Amino acid sequence: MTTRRTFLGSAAAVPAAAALRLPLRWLPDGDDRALVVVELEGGNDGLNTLIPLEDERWAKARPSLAGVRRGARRLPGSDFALHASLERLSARFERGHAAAVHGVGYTPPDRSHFKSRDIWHTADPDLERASTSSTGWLGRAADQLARQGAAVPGLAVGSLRVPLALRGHEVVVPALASLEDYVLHVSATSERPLRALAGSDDPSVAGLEDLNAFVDSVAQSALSSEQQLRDALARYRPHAEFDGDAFGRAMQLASRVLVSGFGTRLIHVSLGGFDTHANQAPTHAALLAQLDRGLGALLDDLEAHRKLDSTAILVHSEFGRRVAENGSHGTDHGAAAPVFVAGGAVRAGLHGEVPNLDDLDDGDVRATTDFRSVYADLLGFLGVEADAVLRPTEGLPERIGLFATR
Amino acid sequence: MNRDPLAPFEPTPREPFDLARSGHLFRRAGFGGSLADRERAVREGPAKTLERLTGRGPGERVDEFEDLPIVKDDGGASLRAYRIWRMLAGRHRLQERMSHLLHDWFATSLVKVGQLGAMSRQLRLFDQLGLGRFDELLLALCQDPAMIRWLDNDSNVAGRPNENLARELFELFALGRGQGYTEHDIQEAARALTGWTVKDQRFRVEHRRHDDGTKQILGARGAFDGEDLVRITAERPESARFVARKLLAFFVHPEPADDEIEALAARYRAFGRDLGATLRVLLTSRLFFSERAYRSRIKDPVDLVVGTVRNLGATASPMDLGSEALGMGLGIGEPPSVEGWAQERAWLTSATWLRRANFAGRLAQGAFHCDPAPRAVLDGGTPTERAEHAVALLLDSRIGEPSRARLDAFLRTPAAHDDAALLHAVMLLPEAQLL
Amino acid sequence: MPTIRPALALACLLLGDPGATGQTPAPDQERNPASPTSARPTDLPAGTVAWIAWHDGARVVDALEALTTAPDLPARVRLALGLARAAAVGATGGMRLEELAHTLSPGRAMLGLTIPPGSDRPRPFLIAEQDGGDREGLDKLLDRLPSDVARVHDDRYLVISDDMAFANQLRSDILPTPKDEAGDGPLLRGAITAAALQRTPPQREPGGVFFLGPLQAAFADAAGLDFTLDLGAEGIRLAATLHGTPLGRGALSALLPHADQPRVVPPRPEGTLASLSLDRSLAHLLRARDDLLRAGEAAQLGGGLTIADALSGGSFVEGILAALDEPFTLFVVAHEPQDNGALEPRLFDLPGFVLVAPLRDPEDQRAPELMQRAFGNLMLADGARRRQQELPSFVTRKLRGPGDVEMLVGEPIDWRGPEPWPVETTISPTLSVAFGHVVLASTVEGTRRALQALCDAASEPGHRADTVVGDHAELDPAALAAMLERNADLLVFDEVMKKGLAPAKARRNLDDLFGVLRGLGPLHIAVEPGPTTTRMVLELEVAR
Repeated sequence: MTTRRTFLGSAAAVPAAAALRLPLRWLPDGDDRALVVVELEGGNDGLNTLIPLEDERWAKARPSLAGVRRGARRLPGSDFALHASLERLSARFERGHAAAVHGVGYTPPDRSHFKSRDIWHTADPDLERASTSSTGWLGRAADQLARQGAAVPGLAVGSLRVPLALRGHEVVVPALASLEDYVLHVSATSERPLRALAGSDDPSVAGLEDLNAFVDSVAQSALSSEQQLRDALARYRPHAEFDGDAFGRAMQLASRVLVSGFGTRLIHVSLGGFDTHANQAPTHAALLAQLDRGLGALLDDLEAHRKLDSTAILVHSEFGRRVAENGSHGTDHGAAAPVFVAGGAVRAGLHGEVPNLDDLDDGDVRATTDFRSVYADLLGFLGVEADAVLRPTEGLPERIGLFATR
Repeated sequence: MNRDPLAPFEPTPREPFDLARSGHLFRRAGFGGSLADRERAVREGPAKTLERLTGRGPGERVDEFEDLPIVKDDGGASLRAYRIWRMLAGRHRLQERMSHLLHDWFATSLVKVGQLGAMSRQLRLFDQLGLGRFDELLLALCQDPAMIRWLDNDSNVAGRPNENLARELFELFALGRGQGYTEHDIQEAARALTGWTVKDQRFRVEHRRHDDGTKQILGARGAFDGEDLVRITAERPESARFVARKLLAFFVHPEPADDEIEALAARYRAFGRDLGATLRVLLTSRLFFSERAYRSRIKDPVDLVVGTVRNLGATASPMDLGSEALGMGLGIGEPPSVEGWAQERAWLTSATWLRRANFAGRLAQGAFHCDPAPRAVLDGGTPTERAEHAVALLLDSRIGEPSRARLDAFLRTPAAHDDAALLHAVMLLPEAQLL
Repeated sequence: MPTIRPALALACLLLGDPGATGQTPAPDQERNPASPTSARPTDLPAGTVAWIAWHDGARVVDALEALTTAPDLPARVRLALGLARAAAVGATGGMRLEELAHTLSPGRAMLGLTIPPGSDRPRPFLIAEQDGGDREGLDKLLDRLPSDVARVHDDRYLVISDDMAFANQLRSDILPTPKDEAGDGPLLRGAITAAALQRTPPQREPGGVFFLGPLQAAFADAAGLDFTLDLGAEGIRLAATLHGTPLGRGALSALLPHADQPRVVPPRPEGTLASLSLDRSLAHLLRARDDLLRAGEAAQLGGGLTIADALSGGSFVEGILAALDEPFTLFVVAHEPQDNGALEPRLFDLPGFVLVAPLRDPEDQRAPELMQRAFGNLMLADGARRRQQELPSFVTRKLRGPGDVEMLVGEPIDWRGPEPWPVETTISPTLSVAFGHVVLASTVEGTRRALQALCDAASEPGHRADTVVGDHAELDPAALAAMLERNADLLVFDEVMKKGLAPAKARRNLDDLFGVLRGLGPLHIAVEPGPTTTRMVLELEVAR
């Protein structure tokens, strides 16, 4: 009888076993496209991030928060402006390296942080409840990429915890809080003997049913990928200044992994604190400024290393916030919100239908674009089969055309 | 030959109660133990040893901090440390093992519950009831504030039932997915639990919000409430099998055979659903000491960090060990979902293997306030003698041929003269990852 | 290689030559070996970056010993101190410090650290005059040294280092010098040279710049630092002179608003455990953040200021900070356990943290208004966050304090739960403006006491305020011990969780610590910048 546990158990054995047989190679030739997902945790106020400057309904609903109009950065030829804090992102819009999609979400919306986050992560709007057998959209993409030979196709960067989005069927995506975590620390004198002992490729323990052999196969794959990462990182030279805080360090780590040619294609980074129920304006401004510095530095670093064209960055949150501000100069949980996509290959500008602020769902912005449409475009960019990842029951959601077709 | 897998284990010259079997008993029923303790066990035999691992006098305080609330706003670090400290220093080791199992079985996470006090009280409840009657445990959990918040029973009210707790009660806690219940049973069970809520962080029944109508649950009919629901559920034969499977998978083998489940379920029913009594039979059985059970599981991170320190006969920083286990994927107090942690092979990935390997290396160097320092634990002698001692300390004096060959190769290098490197080497053998 | 004349340095140190600051030698500089008092520090080995010299090790050890015989030190503590002394010389194979001192250095001695030119590895050395000491004991001691320690040993001198050639060189360069009057002068003298001071990495973090930035600027071109340690019946005194000043250094000096001028410090509230008054301007740090800090941190700070501005509805720096006569003085005030009536016992007796700063213009209405608004908004915002996370939150109330002064208080709402009050509910942020001062505190009681002290000073005719120069800190170890003891259960828990000790042992360790603290009198630390030098003093009294 196959229980959930045993299923998972044997599934976890696959990549390690595969690693034994497949040569661990560098990037498959010419296929180095990568995706960085930046998740804004807590529900980012999309309406004050991509601001509908000319919409009086917006201004009326937010008597105190409409102050963000001052200093907002208008996107050329549109009625929208980016929040004043998003200086570097706005410059990227002007250079043709950034896009936003209006009204992204799902129907009916769920206003619980946990549930909505799980829905975005699993790409399943009908999700009842995430379980240990649930997988995430990035994890399923990683499964495909692993089959193409990427040793460590996905990484959760800057945290000890792997988000649901990165959980796959076959591949176990590691979390990398810092590079120290992915290095075997041994003294110089014992390094060779210990590596030989732990990573010994012993033909006498071939049968994978033997637990000892399973442990060995994991150890070998760990030691060889560790070596690769070290070699790769030794070649990295930063070309941008990152913040010294946790988010800045995570963004730099993401950049290091991408430009070093380690072969990782999917990276997830989180920035928390967007649950702005009270006195939103200053908090939100500071958070967006932090996001902007991290994003800006990552884009600069990628550009200097000629990786801008082969990388896409998605910035999203589990939901937007209510249109009307609340009594304590904040906003409560909402529904749809814009997402941002940046990179050299993106078709810059604004995409999707602007949500109608007269037609609200219980006070919230209705989704005009299915979030899986954004996913589908990104998967297409990566060269991953979107159908297999998104598992649509009623056909793939419509594409937006965020990238020129390859 | 006795066909009952639960027949008592009788040591014979061919199957002696040796360092390997004693090590197995200490790992599975007590998070490991010092070599001195394990050698005494060999002299005293399995029954006496299990008594030592279980025993607690009536009214004895569990620990010095029992009454000290852990409500520090430190992201759960103190709570993790406290739990690890009990596993490291506690004398009632079987109880700690059971609590460890129950935290996965009834997986509740601080991330949603949000209150350290409530979370730590749920874990204490496992300590108090884990070796008692299963139905009492189940009832206490349905009335546990952390559980009620976790599975939203605080919004389960008459007229607007929330099925979350009822569903998990059947599916994950007491019966098993698809085991003898229907969707309708879940809906009716949810009605029985209406009005069971939390007020001022304590359990409370709000009678106005309780649906006192007639319900039909698992074939029984009546104006049931939560207590009736738990009683009815625990009496089901599917429940006995479910509990038996859980105990077998944790204490014996991750994939128990049907006859083993049936045999244990029968004992469990005969003991009136007493988990402690059932376990005592299991842990002294032929099955428990069989080759099939020995090293048949992958150590979870807590098994690894606590077990290694205990086997060295040392103490170490609970705070550090708690965060090491977290880094390897097991954050006490924050399981990933209500289904608990993905166990067994899922624990080992390249990243977590590296963490385990680095933990071993740092521990061997004496990090984590390890006292005595591991390198001081090995007696003098030739590298070979010290390696034998390390294998006795950490690996039951029993390793396979391939590991033996690798260790011999290591002993021929100059690194073998460094005790820390030698201990690290032994901890890097595959057997060290097995429970 | 420059000439080495260590003995000269020894002599001049022990004779108290103020010029002996231990600078790196200039090879061609002249010396007069016959006149130690005129000796220049050029007599130290090339590249010496720091040294300590003493006369008669036994005298030093005995003095230290005397310090630890405070009457109510538990025997365990004395034992622990003894063990610590023994551990300090673990390299000698377990010889006790007293024994070592009597054996090793009956005469003059010096311990130094050299970084040879062209190298980055510090090289330690010891030169000890053998003035009829215990020859046999010394041989035994030397036998116990690890084999890679280089030693040169004859009737007159013992030289120890980690390199044989260097040790020989040191020995051959020693010139016999006249003896000084034994027993006079400070117990220990030492110096850190300019070279070592300049090796300290520059501070770029906001906290580091604020606290250490000016001092480090002084290090940058200081001619060195010399210090003396003295022990007397009253206690211990460490006095140092930095031959450099933080004044006149552009943006960093502007962090010191009063430079070398005396300034008035507010009166001490009753029950003060510790006080800290750094002469620093927060306003200046914030204004000059782009010059003083790394770009990312400056920007982050800027983000924080945006929040602060929004909370106060005005400019935090120009509206609030600029209205205060910086610096703030911080008092840590003991929390007296009191009967809370119906309240359940609190888990942790946190002391009150009280910041006091005079208003530049006592009649100023605008700044207090901004502060009160910021305070109220902060309570509101934080309350909303806390309520959402179901943590105990705060409500803002107005209370009356000493002199009928109004206090704005963020009070924790009633806590109902199975556990005692969480730690945060022992905090009641309080703001008050009175007697020409702003008082911001973590507890109501702390504010009351600060206000009382201000009120008393204001009403006392001819009250003379205390003045200080530079930075001052004071700590009352005995009062601190009493405060910690009230929280012993939690401290034991923390200790056990951090180190894995048995609870009983953790409790004993804490008792020992309390014992030591109770045996100590007040600790004073002062850093006073002058036009050319900076004076640093640490005084610790022993309670008798």
